[in-house]
Amino acid sequence: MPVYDQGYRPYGGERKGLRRRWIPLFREEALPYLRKKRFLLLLILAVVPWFYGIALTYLHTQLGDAEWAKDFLGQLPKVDETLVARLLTNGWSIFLMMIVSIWVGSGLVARDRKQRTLEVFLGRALGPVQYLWAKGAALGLFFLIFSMIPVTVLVIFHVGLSGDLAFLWTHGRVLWGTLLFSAVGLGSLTLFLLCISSLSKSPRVVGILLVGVAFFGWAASGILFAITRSEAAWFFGLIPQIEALGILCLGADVKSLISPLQSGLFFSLLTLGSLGVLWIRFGRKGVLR
Amino acid sequence: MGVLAVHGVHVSYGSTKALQGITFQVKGGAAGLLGPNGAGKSTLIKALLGLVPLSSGSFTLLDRESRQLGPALRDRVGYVPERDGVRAGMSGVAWVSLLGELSGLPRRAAIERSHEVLQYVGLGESRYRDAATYSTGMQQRLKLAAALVHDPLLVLLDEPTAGMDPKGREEMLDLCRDLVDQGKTLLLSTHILKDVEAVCSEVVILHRGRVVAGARIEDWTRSQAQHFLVQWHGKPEEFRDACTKAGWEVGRGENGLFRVVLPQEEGPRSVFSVADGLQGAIHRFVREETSLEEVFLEAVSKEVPLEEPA
Repeated sequence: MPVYDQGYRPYGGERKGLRRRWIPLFREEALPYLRKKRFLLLLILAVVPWFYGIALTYLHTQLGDAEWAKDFLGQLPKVDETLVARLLTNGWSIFLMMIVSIWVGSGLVARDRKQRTLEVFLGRALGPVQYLWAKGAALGLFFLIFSMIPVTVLVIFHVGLSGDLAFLWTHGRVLWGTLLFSAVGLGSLTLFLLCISSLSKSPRVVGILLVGVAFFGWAASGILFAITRSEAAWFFGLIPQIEALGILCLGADVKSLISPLQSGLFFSLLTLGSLGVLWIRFGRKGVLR
Repeated sequence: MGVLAVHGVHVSYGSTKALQGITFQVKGGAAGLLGPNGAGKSTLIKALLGLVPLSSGSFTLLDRESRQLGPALRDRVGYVPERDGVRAGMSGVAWVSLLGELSGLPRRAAIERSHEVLQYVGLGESRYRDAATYSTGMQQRLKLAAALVHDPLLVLLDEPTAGMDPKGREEMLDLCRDLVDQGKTLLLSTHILKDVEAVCSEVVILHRGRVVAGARIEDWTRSQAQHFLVQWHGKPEEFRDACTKAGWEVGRGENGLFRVVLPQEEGPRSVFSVADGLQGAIHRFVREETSLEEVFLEAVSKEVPLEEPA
């Protein structure tokens, strides 16, 4: 007697086009993290510095005209590109961003390779580019919580409290600079994480590798700088490069450890190198080699 | 033209030639892909799915070139991987419906369909459990459900009964037979010959990346039907000479036991007619059954030249 108690029925319903096939995979990659309390706590902690920005916005917009508060407000930082750059690239935010990178990034491709679900996904009408896009988009979504989302909320808050759009005209770079920072910095970081994650079948090994690249690379750059006193020592530090890119994109009035040329070179190399590795892993040799 | 036609497919991993000019056709029903470990069965399946690039050659699915179909080809193909291939932490129904969505089914339809196929493969009761807690047999069925969720025309099964107990194996083979009855075409890659005998009507034998034999199992059985074992009680030389005179192939007769091969146009009665004119009698007359196993062993024992690395 067959094990099934219901016969096979053909499917005659609708089928979606090929272009949006990545969306279910993206959803399935991102949602499980949002159900984890520890991960949510991490995201909440990541936006804590932005409450400072919101508080400053409130004070400047609400008390800016009050004579008695002028001295007090004068001592506080203004809400501008420099403040946003500091909030984007402060040590706390970058540290948490690296933790999220390692948490999410280490398993992006490695887990699929370990569980052999990569061949199952790619055995569907889902090309390698769509697969990588879905994975990258899930990580990118979390990166936006560190960048574009709080900046947008800050701007909306500012415009709402001040009652006019002047802030957008005078400090428009806050938005497009953050967008550029997200696209270049976090985009290349996402590609790099996809690339590292595709190199091993073990998310743990990938995680250790990422910790090495992120934190030990930073420490090694610092030691090298202490020895040589050359600012070129920071070139290979991922974290100093992210900080420098934030300052550069927002045109902040903060001294950067890395020149714009070095920064541009670093992120170009990171992006091209990652794309090259991904092409070899997913294209030239077949997806599973 | 059949459902699947493979023309001169070559696949190389660096200097290693994994597949060398594979050509065969599957007209429909179930076809077995047999071969020892390392013969290239899994590579061929991955090549058909586009997971491994072809060095040369092509294949057609329902008369359409694989290159013409592109990724849409995989909407018509279901794949049951050999090992793992199940996401830990997801329930059976969540996993199958995700794969349904990846194959283009709208979310709601994918969920409904995943319930249906899980019921069909016998996992109805366990569909809400974490797939990582499933037994090997349940995982194999889950993979079959995932391969069927988008209602493919061709199902590629890579060792579908691997690690299953005899009962589970039989149930899986039952499902395969039922799918063939439903009009699906199955390509069953395995090294378990009994699975092929139980399900398939055709077989392709691979060895060292080449097709070394291939035919309908029925034809093989028919060709073997003309082999007989005859126990002759009388003078052995006399019987041998008579058979040879009749134009039959006669094997060495120890203790009066002969292997006689009759041409297609003659039947067993001919042997008794010949024996009638001799001094002696046939004590035993048995049709010699050659199993697929013997055919397989003969095919893979042939020396296949290894091509020099390019």
